[in-house]
Amino acid sequence: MADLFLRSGRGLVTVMAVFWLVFLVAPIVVTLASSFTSSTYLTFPPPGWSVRWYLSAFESEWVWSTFWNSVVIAVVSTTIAVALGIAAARVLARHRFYGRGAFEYAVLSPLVIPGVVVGFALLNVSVLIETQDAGLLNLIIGHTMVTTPFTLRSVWSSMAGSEISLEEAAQSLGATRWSAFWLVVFPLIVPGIVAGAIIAFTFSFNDVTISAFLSAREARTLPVELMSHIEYLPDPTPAAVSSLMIVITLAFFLLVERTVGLDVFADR
Amino acid sequence: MSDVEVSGVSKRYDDLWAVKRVSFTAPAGSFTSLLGPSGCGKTTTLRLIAGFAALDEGEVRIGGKPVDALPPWRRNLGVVFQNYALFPFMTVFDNVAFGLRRRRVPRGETAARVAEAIDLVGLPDLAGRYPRQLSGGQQQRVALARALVIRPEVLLLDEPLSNLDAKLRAEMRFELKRIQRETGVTSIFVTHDQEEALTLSDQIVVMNLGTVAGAAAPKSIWEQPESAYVADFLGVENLFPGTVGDGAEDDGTVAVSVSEGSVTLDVAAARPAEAAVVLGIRSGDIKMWKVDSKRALDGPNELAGTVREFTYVGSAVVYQVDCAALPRPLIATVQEEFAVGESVRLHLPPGAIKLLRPDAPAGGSGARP
Repeated sequence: MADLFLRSGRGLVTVMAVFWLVFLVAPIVVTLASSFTSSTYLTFPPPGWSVRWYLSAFESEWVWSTFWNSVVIAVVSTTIAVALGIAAARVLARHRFYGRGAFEYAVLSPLVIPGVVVGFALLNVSVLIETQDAGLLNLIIGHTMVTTPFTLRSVWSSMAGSEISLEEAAQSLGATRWSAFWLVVFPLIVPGIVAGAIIAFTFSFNDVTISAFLSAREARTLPVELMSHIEYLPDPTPAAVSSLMIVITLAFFLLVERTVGLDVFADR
Repeated sequence: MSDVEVSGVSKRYDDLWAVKRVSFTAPAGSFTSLLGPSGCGKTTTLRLIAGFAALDEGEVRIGGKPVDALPPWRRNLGVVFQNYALFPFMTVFDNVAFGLRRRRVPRGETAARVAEAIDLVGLPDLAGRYPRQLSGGQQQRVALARALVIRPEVLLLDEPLSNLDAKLRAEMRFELKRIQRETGVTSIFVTHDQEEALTLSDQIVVMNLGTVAGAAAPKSIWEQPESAYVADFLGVENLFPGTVGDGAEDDGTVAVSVSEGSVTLDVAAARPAEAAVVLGIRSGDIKMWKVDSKRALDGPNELAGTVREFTYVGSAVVYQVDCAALPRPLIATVQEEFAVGESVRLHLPPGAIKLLRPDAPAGGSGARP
């Protein structure tokens, strides 16, 4: 009985592995391969090989301007999300208060609400507060809202390992409230902060759905610009840009794996 | 060294009094234990002294100075936590040096004092290790060294031995006593273990439902507990409510009739103010013979009983004996062996029976749900 259960479980894992390879890894391979095509339109398999579309990407003004927009938005929103995440995680990990559950759900809700809904809602809010033309500001606010749940969760789970008694011990030894946090708690939650920051950055840098709603004409992100480019033009430049983004994202995760380990993403 | 005066201290969490008007004094250089079951308010009392929580009523004075307005980092107290609370990413040296660095002690002096503290707690050559590389007993010693190196006015210990196994706990008990004697630091020790409290303390403060149920030196609290609650917590197995008779005795004894029983026992004690008392006798003080024993009586207070059950504890045998004259079975610890169902004669020496004050229902406070 248990044996059958175990064996069927193993079978399921094998099937899953195959599905993941086919439907997730394969498209990445196709994108990477077709970005090196020598033809002027996207085909797979490519008729010949060249790096001309990478050169084209580096020479395109639209790639660079939207790339820098994306970087600025990702850096600023990640920084704010990390700061908010640390503050909120500390409160949630240390205190029991009335409305704690509601607060938790409110902050974590962007994890379960579809991006389209969040994007549409934020667009409406920006119209309401008349910031609809300040695209960069809207994007930073929107990305911060959506990425804070990630930083909060990972900081929170790393804080679970640091008992309140550590802070109290530091205080009894002469550390003020602030230096007790800085000297004793902060070093313990660095892995959570790094993991949360990388997820937040990657999410912000790759997001299309929410950004599509919030991008004004002069403030478009790279993924949004890629989308519209693919819609109207057949040239393979977007494939080259996409490939670069895949590589950057993979490099990020490799960095986490090497520095703090991927298990920081595990739930508490 | 400083004394600690806790006067009329109360702490409320929502509508629950965690401690209610607790008062005691820990004399300078003494070792005081706060003893009681979980939820009795002993840890809360310690946290109020340390400044980790703000008190709602009363005052704590250390060395004569009120400390309630001071945050924990200005009280100069050493605290040892139940889980040790060692900083996991710091070496033993850095853990112990933490308090000295906060005080901006010069580097050379820091090194010397850390070495001295590590030496005091008997941790040779482990200064470079991390807490996770140490055993529970070693972590305990580091926590002690870290708390003592700052030369605190008072050392607060929150059940520091409860996470150790029995053998190590016995060993650390001696170590704790040695270290306290060598440093002479005023110590307040929270425990639920009566044996720990008895062996370590100069003074035991027994707590119940957020209040002090009794405070005395170990010997006097062992020999004459103040109340039935204190006696119960200090392992007096047999407790029977009773009423002191009116008859005037002139031989230094009083006659007490056992409630819901059919016997009057002579107790070698002065007549108490109240007639309602609780009779207490330790199982080891009860004598027990076979029913056909020709042995003469030592005095009054002989009962007949039947052995209901026994447990062998190595050095002796603990018997549960049904007595027709008593409302509940008697617990007796003796060397001799008896069989289950055997009829026996029991003797309760008048000098071994304690007259105890019955506890007011629920102690008048700490109304726990």
